[in-house]
Amino acid sequence: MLVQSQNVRKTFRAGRLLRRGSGVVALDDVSFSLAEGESLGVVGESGSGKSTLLRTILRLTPYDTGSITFDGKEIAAMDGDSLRRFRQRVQPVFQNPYSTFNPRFSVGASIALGFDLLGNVVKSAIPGEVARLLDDVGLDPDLARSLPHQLSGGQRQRAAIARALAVQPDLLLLDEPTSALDVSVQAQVLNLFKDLQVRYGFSMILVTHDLPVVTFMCDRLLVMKSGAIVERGPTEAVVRAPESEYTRELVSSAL
Amino acid sequence: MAEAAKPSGRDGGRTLLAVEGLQIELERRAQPPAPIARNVSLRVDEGEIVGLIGESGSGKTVTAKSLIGLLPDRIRVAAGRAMYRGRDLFALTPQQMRAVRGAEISLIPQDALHALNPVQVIGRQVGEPVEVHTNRPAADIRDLVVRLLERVRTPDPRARAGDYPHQFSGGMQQRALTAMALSMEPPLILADEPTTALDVTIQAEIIALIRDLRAQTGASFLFISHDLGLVSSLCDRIYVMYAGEIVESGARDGIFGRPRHPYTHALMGAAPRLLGNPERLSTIPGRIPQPSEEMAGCRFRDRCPRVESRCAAPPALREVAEGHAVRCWLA
Repeated sequence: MLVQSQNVRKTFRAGRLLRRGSGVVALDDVSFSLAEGESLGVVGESGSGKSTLLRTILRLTPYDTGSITFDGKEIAAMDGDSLRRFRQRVQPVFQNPYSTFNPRFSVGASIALGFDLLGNVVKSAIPGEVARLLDDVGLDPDLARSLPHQLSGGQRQRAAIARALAVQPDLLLLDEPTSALDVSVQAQVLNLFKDLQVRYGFSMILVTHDLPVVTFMCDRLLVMKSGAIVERGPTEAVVRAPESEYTRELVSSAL
Repeated sequence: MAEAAKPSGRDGGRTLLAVEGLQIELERRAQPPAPIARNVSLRVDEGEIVGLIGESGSGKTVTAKSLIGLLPDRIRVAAGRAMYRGRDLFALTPQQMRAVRGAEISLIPQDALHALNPVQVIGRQVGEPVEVHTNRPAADIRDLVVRLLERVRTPDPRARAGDYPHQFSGGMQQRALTAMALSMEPPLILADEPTTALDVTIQAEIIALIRDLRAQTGASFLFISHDLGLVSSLCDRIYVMYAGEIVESGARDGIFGRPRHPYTHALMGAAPRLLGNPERLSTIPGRIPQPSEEMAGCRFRDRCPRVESRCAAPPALREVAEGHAVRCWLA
């Protein structure tokens, strides 16, 4: 198993800004696993805990109890070299890639950072590798010189994918990666993820509120509500015969 | 040229809004103005929910905003009429337009957070159209605001009316904006992607609300969206926009059951479905031209899988079946 989550719990304490309640249970006893090369979909509405789940897997948000392992090692226990290695092998792609690019760096320079970090490519070969990646994600390699704001939304998302792939990750964590895109551009980007997965062999966890995107992309599905997994299984089976009331609601609003 | 599409609406519905030959232009420095809506004609009948679909940059938002005089600087209506209850909206003075906006025709904007004033409580903002358009006493308006918030299913509306926008979730903000747009019970509501930023279950609630309102008040809606699924479940009639032009219009069943324009067809193939998806989604090669981009002939020609030699001449929007008009030589 590439990722294994067991009984993970996360509670956000109520600060003074929160007016009610004594704490929000963001993850409630969450257990799942992800095999190598697999695509797992996570659906649920805002506040269901799906983004918190991604952040805990990225080790951006610590969990309170339970365990998450990546390639057999507990992520909370990683430090130094093992943490650096983990940060390279797990790459996020977010809904709004604009906010994840340095607006003063050219797109090519942002992608090149990955090679610098990895140190596996000699400096003089980096521009060629950046061009190859841009070509792989269906962008004109000349766009390497552009600034992020000069790209369209779809181009920017492709550039974000190229940047993620630069460090040869084993796992992509996708948080609503096509929600901000038009349907024709979304189709191109979703096809691209599938093509690249065949070529690069990474696993994916795709978080979205868009059920049809998950049924197109993912083999298995988790449905989350109020921090807990309320339903799971092979995507098509879940959609054909949803068992929980909440999943039924999601399916019927997607019809 | 018979450009004005005249698809038949719901039986017996009287025309509430008729836009004809609308040309919207972007003024540019040292260059001729660039058209961003090209000869757009559309109609909304009383009690009708009309969809306007198209991708980013197709000109749909600017078309809606022109109707209530909210075009950004440097963008202006260059030609056309928008007849609403016997008056041309484009011929109104700014003062006359202020009397129409919010009271006769209101807008539910995209992007709820930016549409709300961050330093004013929600209740005050929801009540503002009534405050501006009527002389009703403040206590009355406060009661009305509570009822409006209740109607859009805001929990604990009396208390929440005193909240600031940042204390509302995205879905609640969108509902507050919807309440504001309804406050004067306008006959026509322009809804610009009102649910795009929302979760599907909240989206379903807003849609149910729009249906309820139509049933209760007989209001008409021009519903702008790029979400085909949503439009197919909500709208009676649909206009499809591409690169500044209406390329297809007709009743919902005609458009979704038998799309005739290759662009409409391609859009439907590009959307993933809940079940029975192909291994790859069909895509449209190339990119959407800027609405201002001049092209000889059909504006979809470069991307069209069925392009022929006659597409080098611009096709007119013509009726191919009752109430179903298509801008394509092959339809």
